[in-house]
Amino acid sequence: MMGTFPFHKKEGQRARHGLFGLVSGSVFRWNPWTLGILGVLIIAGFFVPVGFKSLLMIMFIYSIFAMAYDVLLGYANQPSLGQSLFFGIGAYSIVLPVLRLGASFWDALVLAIAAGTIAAVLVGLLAVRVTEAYHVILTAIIASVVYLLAKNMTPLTGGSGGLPIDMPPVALGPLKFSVYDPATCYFILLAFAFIVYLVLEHLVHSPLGRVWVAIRENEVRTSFLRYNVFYYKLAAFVLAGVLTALSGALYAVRLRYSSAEFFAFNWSVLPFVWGILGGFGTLIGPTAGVALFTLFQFYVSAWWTHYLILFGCLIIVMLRWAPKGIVGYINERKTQHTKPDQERHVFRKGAFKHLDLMGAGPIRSHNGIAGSEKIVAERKHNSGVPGREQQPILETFDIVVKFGGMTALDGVNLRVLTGELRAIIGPNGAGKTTLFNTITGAVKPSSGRVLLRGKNITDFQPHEICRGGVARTFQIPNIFSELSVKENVWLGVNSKAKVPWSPIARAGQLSTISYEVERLCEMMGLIDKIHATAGSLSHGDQRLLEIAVALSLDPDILLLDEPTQGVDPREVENMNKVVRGIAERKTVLVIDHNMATVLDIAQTITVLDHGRIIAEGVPSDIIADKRVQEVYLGISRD
Amino acid sequence: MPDVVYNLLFLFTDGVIWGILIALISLGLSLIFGIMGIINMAHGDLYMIGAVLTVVVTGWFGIFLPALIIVPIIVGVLAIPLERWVLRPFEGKPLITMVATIGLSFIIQQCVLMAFGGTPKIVPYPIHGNINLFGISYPRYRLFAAAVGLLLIGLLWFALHRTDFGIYIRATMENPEMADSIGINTNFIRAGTFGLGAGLAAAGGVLAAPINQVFFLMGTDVILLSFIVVIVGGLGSLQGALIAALILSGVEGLLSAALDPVQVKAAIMFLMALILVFRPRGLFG
Repeated sequence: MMGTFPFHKKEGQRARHGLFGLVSGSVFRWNPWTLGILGVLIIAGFFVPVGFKSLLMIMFIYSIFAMAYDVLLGYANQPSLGQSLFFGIGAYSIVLPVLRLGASFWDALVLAIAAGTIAAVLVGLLAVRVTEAYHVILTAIIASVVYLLAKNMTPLTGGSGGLPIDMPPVALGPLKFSVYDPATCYFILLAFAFIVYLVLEHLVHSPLGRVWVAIRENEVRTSFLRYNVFYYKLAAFVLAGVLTALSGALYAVRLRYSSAEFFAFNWSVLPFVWGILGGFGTLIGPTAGVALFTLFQFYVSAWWTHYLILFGCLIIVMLRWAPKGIVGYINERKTQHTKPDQERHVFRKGAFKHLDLMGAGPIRSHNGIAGSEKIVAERKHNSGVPGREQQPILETFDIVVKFGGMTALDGVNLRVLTGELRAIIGPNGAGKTTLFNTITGAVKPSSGRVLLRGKNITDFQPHEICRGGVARTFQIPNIFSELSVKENVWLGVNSKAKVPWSPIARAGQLSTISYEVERLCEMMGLIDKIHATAGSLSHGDQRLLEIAVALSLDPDILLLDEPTQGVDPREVENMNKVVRGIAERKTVLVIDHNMATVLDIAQTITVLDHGRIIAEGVPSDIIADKRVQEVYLGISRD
Repeated sequence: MPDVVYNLLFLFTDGVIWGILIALISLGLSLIFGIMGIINMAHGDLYMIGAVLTVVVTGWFGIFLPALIIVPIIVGVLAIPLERWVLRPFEGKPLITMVATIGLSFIIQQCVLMAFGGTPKIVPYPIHGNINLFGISYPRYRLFAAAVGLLLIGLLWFALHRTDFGIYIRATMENPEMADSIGINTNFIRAGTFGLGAGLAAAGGVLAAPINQVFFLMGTDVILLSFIVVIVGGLGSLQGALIAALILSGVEGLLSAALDPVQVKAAIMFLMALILVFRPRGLFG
């Protein structure tokens, strides 16, 4: 019974990863397709003529580059156009040590990877903060600067002509082989590409990878789920940079030279084109894009010098009719057959039928203390927890927020006590949502302070305030509409884990996390729709899901921005029950337009108008207040 | 006048004049992005077509001036079906349009290569001789090009701020749904703006043809530069693009007194990267 109530912290149920918080579940999931392709490629290694084999080898090198870029753009949503920088750095950092210092292949490879890491961290620290088109241009500029310098520093780089290299035989354990022997080289490169694939395939299903997807789908929401988005994006940027450097190194060794042209812009465009052809966000897609592109380049260019015309047409046709690439196209065709089933699954069953679990019974008074036995039992059990003492948990002092010439908040002093259910009302444009945005760190006030448990949080980032125990919902449901209900809630639950960015665990496999996710979904009456895409839910269910996500953070204060707005009138009462149930354990601030609802559920009411608090008190006082009647209820003084 | 000052003045003037042409091209790019959300990677190729057609048209007439009028109109008109039938489905998705226009860029470049060959061509100065300007001797044609460039920018400003079409364009830029619902034919505005932007790029190409070598890859140098100008100026801000272009090329001119051309480019780009890092929305964004 206890388990059904998520507000109740029990140490044994806290999300906890396995060994050292890192390892859990099976590490790799074998896909028959992957194994099949690998098998074909291994067999091909013995039979294919040398000419085609070198083409395949180039594809293996390119696919490392392509998959790295897929992680960056397809998963972490960073449209970098400066990957040539890392490709060139990889190439030079393997060629120069071998040429100038006589380093061995493996030592030089390690150097190349190290150089790629350092470069990616440095560039990432600058470029990751800058988003969208600005990110595109900034990365392109940085790569162009290095390209120009590399071209100019002929003594070091050999300029556009490049530095030739003849790699000495490579030792692999007791074996020695030449990198120019196609038979051996083929398998080595295949191994490199396949290992990178396996690692990335696992990574994108790890908590780290899921958070990347969350950032891709809705960056703002992710930052309100305690995740420090910057570090997650930086991690993807560095990973992509390192792997790109690896592919650049392998490419230089394979082609026996390194040139300043490896830094050229076209090497930044290529991974983009591969991804578009094959399909971003699938890992296998960009690899297919590499195969298509390389075959096209090789065969059509031999047949027609102006093959780029056809290639340009191919790009435009693909974008028009298969914008998710070959793999995306195939996936879409496959899911078209299964869609009706899913919809049947998603089909609404009686909403809120699990609401009893909330223990929200009839209301006795406007103080909104619900009287279910279950809740009483919970409260008794929890009596040691500080919660009902009248301490201010959240205070604001003289908050002023200005947008241009408009003053949205004009000296707001708010004092919310622990355990309070406070409603904030006021006409449109009164500054209600701005107040929420200021408390949660989305908007920085021009002056004034926000205190959380007496601590000044005015200058904190949203994710830091979130970690302090403040969760919120948005006026327009702000969820990850492309992710499933379960994944949405999982993101919140995972953010509490000791290592929420674990690259090794498999997301959603940890029993404690799964349990908590299901419990929250059950409580909100969403358990039947747990696998449905969040965007396919009804408006009311999306609001419930958003509350479930907010609750999954286990906050002390919950800020609900118009939870009943746009909700079917029949569902409003259920939503009110949910809010009341939550208020049993949490401090709740709720913005609502519906006066009846507010008077019904709130313990105290704050009335805002033109950015100022014009009244505050228990509902009966608010109804009686002349100014409120004038401003809010539209009753004239006359 | 001391040689150093003379040199600096000359380089600075040269830089600013090139900046005016870059501004002209960038304004087209900025307009197209502002209205349609198209990151037009083929914009440099429209400039290139302008220059290549200048070679052709100058060949027909034997004089330069007709090219200045005809070529931008030809390119502008030809660009309209391109927007309508090729790019329309991608509009509003900047990254997709970027890749699509990269494809378009390949097609244009290779077609020009097929039709005109790969050897760079030189258009002689249509206006000969030098002029004495604040004590420096400067080619008359470059001043003429700058004057025409400024005139076109002035006309563009006038068209955007003082004509109905301009108000429609700015309304569509600001809020396309609203523009639609108050009866502006936004399809027409989109097509017209794309044509206008392409025409501006082509005009830049015509004016630059006697200054630069004309060949099928000449657009690739210009495209990155115009992008930097548009981004640093602030996406969609026309004044920003103009000011960024002038600052950029003025500084470039001055730096070229001390550094070799490649180092100048690198230094300028480094400067631009710094501006973006510290003002992530551009100077006027």
